[in-house]
Amino acid sequence: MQRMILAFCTLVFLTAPALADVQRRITIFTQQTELFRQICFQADGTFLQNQIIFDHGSSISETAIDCNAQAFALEQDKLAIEALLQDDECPGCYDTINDQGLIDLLNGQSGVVAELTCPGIGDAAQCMGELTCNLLTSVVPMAGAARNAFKDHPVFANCGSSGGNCFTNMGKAIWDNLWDTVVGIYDLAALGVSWVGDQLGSLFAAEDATSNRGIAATEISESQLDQFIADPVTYLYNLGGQLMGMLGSSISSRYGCAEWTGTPHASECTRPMSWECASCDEKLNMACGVTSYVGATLVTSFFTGGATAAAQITSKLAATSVITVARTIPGAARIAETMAVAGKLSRGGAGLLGGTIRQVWNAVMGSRSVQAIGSVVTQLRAAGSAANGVARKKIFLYARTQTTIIEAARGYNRLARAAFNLGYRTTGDAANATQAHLYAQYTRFSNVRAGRVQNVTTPEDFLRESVKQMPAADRAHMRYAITTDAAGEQRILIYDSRAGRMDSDVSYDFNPSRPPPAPVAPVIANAVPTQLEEIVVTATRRPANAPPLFLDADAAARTFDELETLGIDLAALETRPLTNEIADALTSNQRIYVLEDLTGQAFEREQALALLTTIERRSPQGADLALFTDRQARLRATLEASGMPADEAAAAAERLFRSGALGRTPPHDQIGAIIRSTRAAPSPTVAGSADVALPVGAPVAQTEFLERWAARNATTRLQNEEYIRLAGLGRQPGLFYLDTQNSALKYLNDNLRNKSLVDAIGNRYNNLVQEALENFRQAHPGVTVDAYSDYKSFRAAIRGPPGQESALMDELTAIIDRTNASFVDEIKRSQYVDPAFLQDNWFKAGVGRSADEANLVTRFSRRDSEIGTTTFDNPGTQARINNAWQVAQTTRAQIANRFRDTPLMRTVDGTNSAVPTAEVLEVVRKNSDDVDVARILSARHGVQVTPADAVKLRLYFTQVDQFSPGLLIAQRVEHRFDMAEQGGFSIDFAGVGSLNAEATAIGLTEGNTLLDAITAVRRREEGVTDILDGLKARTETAMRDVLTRHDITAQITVSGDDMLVVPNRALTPTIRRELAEAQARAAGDPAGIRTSFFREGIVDQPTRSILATTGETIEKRLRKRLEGLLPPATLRQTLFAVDMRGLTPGTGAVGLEIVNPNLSPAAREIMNREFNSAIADINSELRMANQAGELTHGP
Amino acid sequence: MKLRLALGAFFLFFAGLNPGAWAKSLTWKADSFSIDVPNGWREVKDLYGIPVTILGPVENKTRAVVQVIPTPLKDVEIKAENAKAFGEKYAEGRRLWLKAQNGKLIELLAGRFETLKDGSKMLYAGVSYQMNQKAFIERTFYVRCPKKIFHLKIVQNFELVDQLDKSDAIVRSFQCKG
Repeated sequence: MQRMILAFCTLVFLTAPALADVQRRITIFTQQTELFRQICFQADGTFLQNQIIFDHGSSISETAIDCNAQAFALEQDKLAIEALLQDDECPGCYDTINDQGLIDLLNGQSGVVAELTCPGIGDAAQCMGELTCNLLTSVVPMAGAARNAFKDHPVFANCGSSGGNCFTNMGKAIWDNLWDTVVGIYDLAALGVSWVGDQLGSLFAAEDATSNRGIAATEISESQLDQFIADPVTYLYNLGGQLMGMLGSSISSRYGCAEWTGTPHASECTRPMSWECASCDEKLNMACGVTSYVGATLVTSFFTGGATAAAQITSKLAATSVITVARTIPGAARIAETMAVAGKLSRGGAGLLGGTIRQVWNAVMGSRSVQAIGSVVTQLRAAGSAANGVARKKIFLYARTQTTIIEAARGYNRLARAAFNLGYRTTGDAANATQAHLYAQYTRFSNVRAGRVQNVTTPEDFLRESVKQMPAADRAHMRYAITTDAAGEQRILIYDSRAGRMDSDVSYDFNPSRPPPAPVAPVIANAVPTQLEEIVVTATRRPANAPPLFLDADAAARTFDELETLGIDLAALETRPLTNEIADALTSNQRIYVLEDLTGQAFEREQALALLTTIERRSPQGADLALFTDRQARLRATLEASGMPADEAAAAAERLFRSGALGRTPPHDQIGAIIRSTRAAPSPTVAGSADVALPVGAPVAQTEFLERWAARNATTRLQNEEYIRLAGLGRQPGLFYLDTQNSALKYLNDNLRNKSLVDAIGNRYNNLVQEALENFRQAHPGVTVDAYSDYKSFRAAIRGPPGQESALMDELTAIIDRTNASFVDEIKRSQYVDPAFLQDNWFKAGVGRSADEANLVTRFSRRDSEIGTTTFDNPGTQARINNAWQVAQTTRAQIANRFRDTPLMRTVDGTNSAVPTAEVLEVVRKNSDDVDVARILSARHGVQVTPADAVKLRLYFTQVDQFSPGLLIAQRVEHRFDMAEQGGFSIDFAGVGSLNAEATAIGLTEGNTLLDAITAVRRREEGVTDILDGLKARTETAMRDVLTRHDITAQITVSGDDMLVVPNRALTPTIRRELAEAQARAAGDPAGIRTSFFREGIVDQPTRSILATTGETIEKRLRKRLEGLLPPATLRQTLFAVDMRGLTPGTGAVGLEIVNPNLSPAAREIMNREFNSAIADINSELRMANQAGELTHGP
Repeated sequence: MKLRLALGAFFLFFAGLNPGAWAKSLTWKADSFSIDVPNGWREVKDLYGIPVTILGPVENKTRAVVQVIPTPLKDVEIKAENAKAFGEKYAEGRRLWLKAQNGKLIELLAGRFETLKDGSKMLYAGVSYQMNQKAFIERTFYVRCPKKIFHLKIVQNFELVDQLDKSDAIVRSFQCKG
């Protein structure tokens, strides 16, 4: 009998995933079909065949709908759902569906949503009691064994039976996490599989549940425990009340609305409803969606971080696009249901009443929307208009006045994204294809509008250039018309005559009364230049005969004059053309002057600074300068000028370069272009340009936003160098620092999945800060600002009158707060980022009297959301940082007491303090397993280290890491794997991170105050940098010496802790051996060098990089395997150079060069044996990742 | 569900005193287990839905927690050769959970196999993480008893890392009883 029960339950369990999938899919599908009907069918039922709906004022991904493609996609989805239901052998296992919104939709009653009203402030205590009561009574029917314990309890004597289905979700979340037995979770997990040991690991739900409850238990006090034992029901009642109470403001601000501009939930909320004034039912409605989704997250947040943290969780989750869907779809006030649809963590699907899933699905199939789609698809197929992409559909419907359709399109695409995330790809794929098509067109239109295309002076020109990229057959149907917009201004509308409607045109904000700009040298009025931008492009993209698009001869002549006064040989300079790509990347008020330096000598720093200053002074309208130093390109141009065909000239130049005849040149084929942008001016008014600032409140299309900001750098390398110099001065009278960081980089990358957009957001923020700093500077004569920027931070050193630092710092802090608010407002107002993703705390800032103080306070404000923009001097902030420092010191003291006078520790000079050595910290960093850490440290040092010791060491490492000084980089170095056709090798200077950690640990012990410790940390870190710089210099010299002996020239690039050597001809085994030996000698500590050769003739550039990295990984694995097999001293004195002989990733022979003159034959044999095993390990891991794993041990 | 309730009905426990540092040994009746509870620790039944929770003394407003759950899993093998895969699966689950909880992974303890003193086979793994400015250590253990699998788990704040050895010893005192 038991076996039979198990068999039945197995069936139930196996169908459970399908249950959730089908229910979710049906819900999404139904909503999409209804929206689709609104978007792609006219009121009389006419299908908008062959049309792409696209609102020019929005981002393409928001509103682009290809009606044909989506009709086919929805039809495919319908068939998929039908197939799922037909394959299902247990239709009776499904929950029934009780989604009133869904039922409304099926009945054609979408859009009917009762407006929430505020009934006035009630008795808060009573309401809370009612809520808690409802919460618990609503879950009693589900509670199984314990239901009687609740029902009979006095606290529920007066509870009604209400609760509502929505509220059930919330109650269930709390119930599931705080009361219900976990045993049943194992029951579910166990069913339906034949068990082996490793499948225990699939008990995710059981692990999650026990962790959530375990965390809760760690927080329980003795008195609470006593209360729980004595009266668990009351205990839970009280706890539920606390959870409910903390939800208030964060939820109401996201969901509650008492007044709408139009249809409730489908329009803007003009009067948010306060938590206090909402009735209990309204609170319930607002809360249920959140808790149904956050469930366990809410509970653990409550126990780990208290009410504040839990409220932040609800707030954060409320900002997801999923909720926005529910708010914007007409008739879709089904927050809880929609949350469940997209909430992968939620256990259920749609609601629970009304009919079986088959009945509901039959109703969906019979709805007018689905019927209409089926009919359309049939007609399209008959007409031969297959679902073969958007290439055959060229007509654009410009529908910017049709706000209802735009909103519907947005809702549709968000649902498509939600479906995509759940694994249903058809509508999402169709949307992506449409968007790709539109982007290709849109870029061109945007360029025309921005004045980047020459010879646009009449409406005819505008029409011609706008539709230039359309196929001729379509282009012939495009027309323009002059219309008057709502503001009374004339505009050009371009439309498709086949559509027969003026609102179905291709239209752009182009006012013919304001002619497009001249293609060159726009006049920039009142621009205050504030920044220089630096870009690098490869010359290989440069068309051979491209004309100079932005060259201003007069300005160039002035530049030449200035160059001459600087003692620069004008004969060695000439102008160079720009590529179209560069030109397209510029806004209309940017220009580049390219100067080529035939001498091949880079400008001295002082020369360059003086040059920039001169250019800025002499060209106030925005002349820019690019420094172009490339002998090879110059040679090629010279050869071409002498009549040699371009390809032959390029080949000849390449040969000469490889021969070394040109000497040591700057990076091959690079243009270093310095562009001054007037965009950073406080008032970027550009007279005579079509690239105008948008009116306040106007949405900015994402494409335009990207064009403006994605590729911008706020500072140049020279500016960064100046900041780094100032940062090294420490505290100085009159000097203080601003540090801002993008604390949401990962969040943005994960959620927006658009690196350009993330870059643009960061650069726009930097720009606003820069503007604010400029205003600050202008308001304080005598104050100077030196800025620094990199990919995730913007910093500035501010110099003012000594004695005024505090006042200036406080003022700047307030300014940055306002800037942050302004940034958030801009994003809200604009539409280039889905407001659902918006968070107020993307960027964090701090101010301090030294660069390190500013950096530290910013890092702590990133870590601790309660800290806003503040100064290091703020007592509260400083107390937090001070506390963290003290805690780290306490941990260190505990470790020191345990391991004092052992090789694990080193005593800090001049003190009695001891810190773990870099070697110990390296073991902790590189081994995630505490048991391994304990084993390795015990074996290495002959000291008993337990896993608990390892945990404490790791804790200490984490605490120290909080204080690691910020990294400042003047300019990123790109390794030139593209040039490595003759092979090359990488060198990784191992253990730098651990040396830095040790230096930080030592610094933290020095000095009696936090300030002293911060200063000491920087000083210690500089010491490590000096050591590393020396090692890198010695190694580079050693490599050049060896290569020169063999008449080889090489390009060597050095970044933070690695080096790439690219020789101009292939390396023989003898040379590779010599190089490895030279590395060992240069290093002093051979184990600190990790070398990986890759062979010549690898065609694919990324493959070169992958193989070099694979070689480094093999070396790491080899060292790990040798741990404990050979004495540590032997390993430290041995350098392993791995030689990757394959041509494709994961293949080919792998050689090993072992450099240690004192190595015994036995040790060498062990090394070779373990090398075999290391290769086998890597092969295995590659194969597990579905990659080629066919590496062999070569000679 | 009936099966689960039927098992639950047998869960009666009582305590007996043991000599030495260990104050007592919990014994669950019939098909269950025994486990040692040190002096100063408390055992609680059904706290937050966990059949048995053994709680350490409160220090700095937090306490170590050892959970014991007799699961309904019966025909599950615990094998040494599955330790690695078990650890990897466990790690995958923890990563997902931490992502959902906005937590940050500090470290993972690989899956391991061990035989307890009564001969029971055990798989275990672990994780440490940060969540809302607090750091936690977890160790999860699955023990094969003749009639069922037991799941034991240690959860404690990082601040109590010194008690990890003691929590570990509690887990390793576990013995199948029938």
